[in-house]
Amino acid sequence: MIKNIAISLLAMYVLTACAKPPVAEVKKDGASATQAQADEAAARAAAHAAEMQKAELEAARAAAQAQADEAAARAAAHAAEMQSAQVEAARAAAERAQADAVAARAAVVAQAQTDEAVANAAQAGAAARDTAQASATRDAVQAPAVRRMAAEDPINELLSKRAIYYPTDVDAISEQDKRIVQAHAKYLAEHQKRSVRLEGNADERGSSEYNLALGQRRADGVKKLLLLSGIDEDRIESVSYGEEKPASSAHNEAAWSQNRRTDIKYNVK
Amino acid sequence: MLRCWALMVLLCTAFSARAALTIDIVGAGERQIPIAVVPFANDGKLAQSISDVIAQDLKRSGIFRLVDSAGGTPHELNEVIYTDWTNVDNLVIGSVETQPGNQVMVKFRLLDAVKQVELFGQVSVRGTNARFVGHRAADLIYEKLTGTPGSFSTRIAYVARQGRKNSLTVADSDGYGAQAIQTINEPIMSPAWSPDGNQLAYVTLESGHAVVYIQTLATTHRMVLSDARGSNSAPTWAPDGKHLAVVLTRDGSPQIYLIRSDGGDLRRLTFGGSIDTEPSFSPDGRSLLFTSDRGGSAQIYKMSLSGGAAERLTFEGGNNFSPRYSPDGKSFVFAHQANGRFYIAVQDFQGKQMQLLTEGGWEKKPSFSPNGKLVLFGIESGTRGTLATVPSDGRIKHSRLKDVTSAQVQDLREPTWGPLLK
Repeated sequence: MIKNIAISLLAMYVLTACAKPPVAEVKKDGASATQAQADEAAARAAAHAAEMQKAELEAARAAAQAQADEAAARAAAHAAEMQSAQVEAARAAAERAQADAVAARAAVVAQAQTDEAVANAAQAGAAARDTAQASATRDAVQAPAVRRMAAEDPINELLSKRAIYYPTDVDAISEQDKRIVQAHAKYLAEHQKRSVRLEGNADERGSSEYNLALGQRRADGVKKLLLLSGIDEDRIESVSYGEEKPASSAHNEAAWSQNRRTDIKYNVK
Repeated sequence: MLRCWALMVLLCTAFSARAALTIDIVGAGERQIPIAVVPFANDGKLAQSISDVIAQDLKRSGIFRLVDSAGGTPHELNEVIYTDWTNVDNLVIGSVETQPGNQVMVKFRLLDAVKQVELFGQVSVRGTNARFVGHRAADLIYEKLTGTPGSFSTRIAYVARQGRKNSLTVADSDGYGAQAIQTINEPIMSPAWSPDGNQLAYVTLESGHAVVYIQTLATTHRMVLSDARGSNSAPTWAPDGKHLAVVLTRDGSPQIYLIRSDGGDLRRLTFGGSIDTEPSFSPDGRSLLFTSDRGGSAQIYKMSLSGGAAERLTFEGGNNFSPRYSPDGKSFVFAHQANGRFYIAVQDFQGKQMQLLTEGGWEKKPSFSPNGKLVLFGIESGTRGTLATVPSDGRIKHSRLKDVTSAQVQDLREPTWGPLLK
């Protein structure tokens, strides 16, 4: 039974992987962003499995696991989201379930693992650099899928990171995070039709003008690294929101560390 | 002793404005002039009490102490019994009348209760806006008693936020009469008055990145001043009214540029690889103050427009932001960050001593009143920003501006004091 579901899942995802660009787009609002992240993780997992040309039990189980993780993570995200987003996520989930019977069945399978995944998500949230809810949600969604793939495909793990974080008043990218930017550079080099928008942000300390400047320095630092990796300048847009669009609006270091950030956003074609 | 001091004020005001200004400094932090603004005749018939507007303006200046009118309510000179007013130095009496065409006319006198003379005879101020008439009258009284022109009948600009809605707002100097001149669902920042008070430059994120606009108040017409790639920010008008300094990232790091007010003739002014922002012109237009992190932290620097190295001016605390020249060019006001708090501070160019004007919290974006005697700034407490003023010599604690339109839901920020209205 499980095996059958797993195989049909695999087939579905191979189709999905072919139909979609390999990296799903992260959209602006929280609910669809988590949805897109989850889709992306699943799509990548499936594509990966297909490439290995061993559509055997092991890979199938991996795909099923990915689906389960996705559904469970969606449930976790669902719990963490704010009320309005919750309604939207619920509606989206309902629509998906209706449209796709297989997905619905997978969700049933996933249900068994929900508890564990929620625990994982909570752990991931706690371990995450901060407690800001938006980010905890994002981490919760990413954590299971990312953890599973880490051993197999580090480039995908790096690609799944779409934000660079900074210490106070710093605009330089840490050595560790440079690998993230380089992974995106590699992706851009391999996908000539894609382009990115880099959005620099700062925490609310300082003046709005200084923070706008600081956010721009952060975004431009990421841009510079992409240019160094050979990406054409006309495929990179860098802007700053300064302190004006905080991911977390609380007034403490936990919030500020979330707001010192450059978001890497792929433009929708 | 008190009398003695008051006499000195009188003697000095009799000489020149400059002498009176000296007295003002001597009294800083200690003495406030006791004054009574007697409710004007017919004032109660108006929706807005004009004598109340005058009294609150004088109080906010920090120079005066309001005394209740214990000596009755005289409106005319012959009704004043000076022996009833031994507790004040000065007395304002007058009357209000409404005239055809919604005009309000106030006739008032300023008396010296010590010397028992009129400081000026009956003065008339007329207008359709009762509060504005009151501010004009307060300006005249303030100037007569301090030697410095008043700044009450001026305007301020700020940004009011409510959810995603941002309204660029213009109001009277005391926060009344607020009017939104631009409302969008994206952040608005950095409003800056043209020297003639007819235009505001400001920044919005409505096109996905920071763009500088100039809007004419009378017509609401808006033009793009600078829309280069990256960020266009921190506009400030040169005293000539024909140029602005702006901060652009078109060539790399945020640097300061000079641009004509029609958007032409762009000229780069700073040439570093760090952040240079928040330019402020000296009153003579020859120098700029600005914030830079070139020394490793955000500090305030001064540079000449004719070239030469920039001089660092602030060294205390963690960071210093948002410098603004005083109208006389002798000092500057800024936001001082230390131990996780933001203070409003002033520093004079000669003594180089920083003086804190506020007790610290989340106080930012200071700007001088046109006469240099008050500083307007934003305070954030909780999630909501409000506006306040404090005397630039720190003689009294700050007072929050009446926030008429907000009804507790708007977040007010980015205040800036407009010029004297011609």
